[in-house]
Amino acid sequence: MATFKEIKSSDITKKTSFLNQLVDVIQDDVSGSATRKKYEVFVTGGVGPGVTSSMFQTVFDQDFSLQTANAIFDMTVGIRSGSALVATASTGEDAAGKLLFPSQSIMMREKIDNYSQMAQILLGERTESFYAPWKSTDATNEIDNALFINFRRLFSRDQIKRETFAMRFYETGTLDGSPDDAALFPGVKQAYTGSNLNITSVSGAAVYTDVGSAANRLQSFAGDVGNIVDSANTSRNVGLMFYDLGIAVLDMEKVIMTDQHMSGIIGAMSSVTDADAAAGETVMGSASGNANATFFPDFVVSASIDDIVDHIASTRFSSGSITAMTFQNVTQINSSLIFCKANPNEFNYSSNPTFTDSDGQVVVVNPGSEEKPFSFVTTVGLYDANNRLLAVAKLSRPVEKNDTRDLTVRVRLDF
Amino acid sequence: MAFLKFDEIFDLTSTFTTHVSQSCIVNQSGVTGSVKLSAFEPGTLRQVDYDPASSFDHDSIIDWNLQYDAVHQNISGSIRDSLSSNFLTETDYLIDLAHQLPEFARDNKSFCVTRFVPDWEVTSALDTSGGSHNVVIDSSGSARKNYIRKNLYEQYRGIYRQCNWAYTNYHTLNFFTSSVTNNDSVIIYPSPTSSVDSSARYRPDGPFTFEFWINPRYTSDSETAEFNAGTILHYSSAYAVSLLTGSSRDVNGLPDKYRLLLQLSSSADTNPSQIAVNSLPELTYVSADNSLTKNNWHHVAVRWGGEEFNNYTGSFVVDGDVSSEFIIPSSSVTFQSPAISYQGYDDGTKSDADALFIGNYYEGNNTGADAIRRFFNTNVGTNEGLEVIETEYGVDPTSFSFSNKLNAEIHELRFYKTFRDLKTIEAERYNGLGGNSLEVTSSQKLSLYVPPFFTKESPNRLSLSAKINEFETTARTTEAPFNVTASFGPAGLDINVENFVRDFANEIYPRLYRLTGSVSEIISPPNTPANAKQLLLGSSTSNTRNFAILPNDNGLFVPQYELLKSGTISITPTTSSNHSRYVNDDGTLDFSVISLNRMLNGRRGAWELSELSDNNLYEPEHVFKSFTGPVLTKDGVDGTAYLNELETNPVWNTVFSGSNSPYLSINDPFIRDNEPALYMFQLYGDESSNEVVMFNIPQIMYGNRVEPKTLVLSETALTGTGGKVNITLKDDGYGSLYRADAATALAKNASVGNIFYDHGIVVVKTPHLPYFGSGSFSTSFKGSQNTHVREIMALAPKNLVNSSSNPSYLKLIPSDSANEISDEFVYVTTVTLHDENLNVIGRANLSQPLKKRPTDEFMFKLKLDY
Repeated sequence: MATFKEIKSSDITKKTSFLNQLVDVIQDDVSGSATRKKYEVFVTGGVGPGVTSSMFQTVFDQDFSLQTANAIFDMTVGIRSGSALVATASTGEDAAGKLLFPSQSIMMREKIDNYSQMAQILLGERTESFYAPWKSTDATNEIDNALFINFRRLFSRDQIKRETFAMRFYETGTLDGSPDDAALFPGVKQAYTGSNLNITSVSGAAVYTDVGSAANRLQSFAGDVGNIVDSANTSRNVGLMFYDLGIAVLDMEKVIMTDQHMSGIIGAMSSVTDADAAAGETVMGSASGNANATFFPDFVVSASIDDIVDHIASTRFSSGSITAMTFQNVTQINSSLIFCKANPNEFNYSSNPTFTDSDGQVVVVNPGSEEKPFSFVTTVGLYDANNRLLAVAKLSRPVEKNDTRDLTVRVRLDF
Repeated sequence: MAFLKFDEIFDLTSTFTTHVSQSCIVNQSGVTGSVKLSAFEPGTLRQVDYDPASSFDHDSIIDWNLQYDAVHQNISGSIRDSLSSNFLTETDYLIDLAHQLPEFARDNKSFCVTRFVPDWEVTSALDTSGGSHNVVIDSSGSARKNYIRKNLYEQYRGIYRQCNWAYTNYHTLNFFTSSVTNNDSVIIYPSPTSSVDSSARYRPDGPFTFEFWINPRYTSDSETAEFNAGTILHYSSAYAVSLLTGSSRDVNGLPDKYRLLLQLSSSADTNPSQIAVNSLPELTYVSADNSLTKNNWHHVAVRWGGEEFNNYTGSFVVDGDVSSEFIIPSSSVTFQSPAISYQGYDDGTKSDADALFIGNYYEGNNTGADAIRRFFNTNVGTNEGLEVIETEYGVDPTSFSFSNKLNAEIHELRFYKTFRDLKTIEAERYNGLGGNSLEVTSSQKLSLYVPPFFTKESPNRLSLSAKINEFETTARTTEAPFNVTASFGPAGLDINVENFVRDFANEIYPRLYRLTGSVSEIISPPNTPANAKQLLLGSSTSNTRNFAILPNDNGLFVPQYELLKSGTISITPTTSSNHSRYVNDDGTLDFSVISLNRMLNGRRGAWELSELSDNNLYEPEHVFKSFTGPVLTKDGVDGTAYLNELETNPVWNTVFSGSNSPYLSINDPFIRDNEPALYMFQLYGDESSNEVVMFNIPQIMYGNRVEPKTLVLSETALTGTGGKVNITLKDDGYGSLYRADAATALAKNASVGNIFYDHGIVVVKTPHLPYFGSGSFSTSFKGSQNTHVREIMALAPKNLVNSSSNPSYLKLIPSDSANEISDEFVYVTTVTLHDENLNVIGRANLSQPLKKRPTDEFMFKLKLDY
């Protein structure tokens, strides 16, 4: 360390820049059980052994049991409290105002709470409804049954960049060969007979995207928002993207073929063990468990959040190494540029004790000659008004400084 | 908001250390246990922006952005102009395009333990006319070696054990059979029969005791494969001691215990493989079944005392206890009284058996042109510098075989022409014979003593020279543990086994049959560029020789080094002293080490006009003088241009020449005084050993330092041993590495290398582990990472911190509970730490607001890890 020099305000400039990264979520990460973590915090009581479920599931970029795994997004479902589905399914309220549901339904209050919680965060009021497109008041655009995808900040960073989100999603589940499907989709034959709950979809892929949102910059309680549309028909709004919080809200009634027949074993309030299902389970779509079950409303009402998310994640994003969803994030970088200037007659000496000999004379390369002193600048220290060291900048290699040259070291501080 | 002055007594700092276990396996199939630089899975994040100054992929990123923007703008334009509402094809394309964006390089970066050596590297280069040459260049390993040697070793000398560029003089004789070694190799000590009294050095004509330490390291290759009887000592028609398997088998069905076989007199001429232990012929005896255990060091004594000791009773003594006994009612087991000259057991049909064979069994008729004495013929005397017994002929016996090679490591071979009692054996089996004890034991008729120790003296013989591929040899004695000409020339490894096999009882050297490394044999040139070490791997003789001496891990025994004293003793030997190789880096005498400095004994460089005369045994004082020339190349051309290039170009290429093996012999531009080319030395003036292997442990794997006593470094199936030799090294907690293969006590003081815990650098200095880690290696260790914890107790006392400075603050009753006594409260949400100027220097948020009434007192514990 040699010399102090005051930095003036004119020596400091500030700059803001934005860094973009592309996030590439592959299908296997969403569909795979090793990369999708459950948190089984919910359990029923009363009838049968009980149904356990998560309130949401998290998708990781690799096996979540590994120390290096990073959570990409959380996924859950929610049902609007005032929806017709709730009104139909509910059997009333108790004295405290708690909604009551029959035991054939699972986690209805939790699904409602999920919706309300997201409404509180994104809309500012838990009783409000999501509409796609944004600000619509048309009842047909009201999202009653929502799929929430909450991207983690590690990947969404400061913001998701507008018009970069795209998601390849299979509206149609695998047809299970039921008479209902045959009647509904006479042109589709998949030669599959059996449960379709966890069979990967092979057709009916749509791309949901936020194209057009840059031209129509919408604002919400939670910051920037945009409409998610069906790329095959951009006038068909299927959800919302809240860019600042990195949350996508999708209308399940629009992104999923709701009247498709659903069959398979789901968790249920059941104490009966039979040939097809153990206690705590039921066979949806069978003669013993609603033979004509469809995705909506039967599956959404009767299945736990885990069963619903399992189905969506493992079948509707397909399974493979191609991209399931992608977006670009934005990181705002604020920089202070401090120009540390050394004039020709400054910083040519060092206070290092070896710079001078025992007589206090500057040590020269060739003894006896009258060389002018020079120094090698290796470090710049930034001090406050009380001479306390605040920051240190190291040069990649020493720079010679002598009285024939000036030197400006540009110190950049990013935060 | 309230400010409270903070009392320092509530500021507590503590440190704890975490030890993370790490393991890393490197082999041909890849790396297991590497540590990633980034926590992101490659490909999940991709770089859209780029820095032209630092990004390697900016061209492809530009292309990607152009493609993306084109499609995206097309969609935006169509929407704006209401041209279309169906963009499924375009968006499908954009999704797939995401996969084509470059991944972040850092996400693919991972660290693992890496191995490096100061060898040459072979590469291709073009000359000025565009011609392609295979050239060798010095690798960066040489510079790294010298950085470690001259800095780390100096810094930690006196702090770590054996922190010298030297290794411990404690070794074993290693014998094993494999597909890549000579299975008929043997060590032959000359034992001419005296013309005066027909006695011989190694033949007992009465009572005897054989003693040695043995570790049966090796077993059969499979459950059904035969373990061939291996002979330890054989003197034709007199005795043979062999190693057999016992009846015990391990879980894989392989032999894991052994026994010893002793054949005497006439029975010593029967191949031990042909002897059935359940039906022993006359004068043949075995130790107890399973008396030796695999991979255990055992001390063995085989003795017989004649009539005077327990009435002709002999015994096998294993680890100090009698394993089995036998009785030979005869006055002599080898000498056929009343014969006046020893001529084998049948007295007249065979020649004198003038040699002791160690490590294999001699099978031949020992007569006429097949006489054993012909192993020491006139040519052997000339070429190998050995005692000549057969003075009329210059060729080996014509008909014989060695087919019972030992599979074990042995050391401390002793042969007494007397019977030693159990008390004496027990007293002397743990220590070597040094100085006075050797004299004492010599008086007890000690007739063979092979520790083995490195000795600076060795026979003047033909030794491998610079042209490895042609097995060019020069006549000289060697004074180093390895062939320095081969090492500093074409970087080939040739262990000087001759310097380790001196019989201290008789002060003679043996013949190393099929072990000399100087016999020409055909080596197929590799298809790819290879250095001399890689080429020598194709020579079974070289492999046998280079693995004949291994570091000793027998911790049950303590060697004594007084035997190595010779002539005038000086605590600081000079370069010409007999003791110059037994010094540490300070140049101080230490017989327990073999120095790896000054391997060329002051050889001058091409830039120097005279031999170096300084006596610094650590580092030569090279004088860099201006070249005055002329220096001629081997072709007689002025070498000034080469020399200038040498001085100015730090990476100086030397073209290999040779028609069928272009990578082996070096076209030397600097021949002076007909000296072999020593390129490595010529380049750097560095005489220190290059036969070392170094490992770098990245700091990301260990943190502050490698935890002492936790390093395990191993290679199974060492290259050049046909998969037979496994080596494990451990650190002793004081910076020294020792061999740790045996299941018995380990010789932790026998240093084969060093570890620098704070730097993650591991150096295997011994040249006796050639190619160590080149095929594969595994490491495990614990890191040591300090974590400092600062705990700050922030007290919110009663009657303080009762109001908020928020303008909307109202005094409200905390709850509607009937027993509520307070009429005001605040919610505490945040604790901030301030300096004396009230700048916020720390902040802690509560997970949920905490209700504080005036009568409440809370202590907030803030914890900061760093």
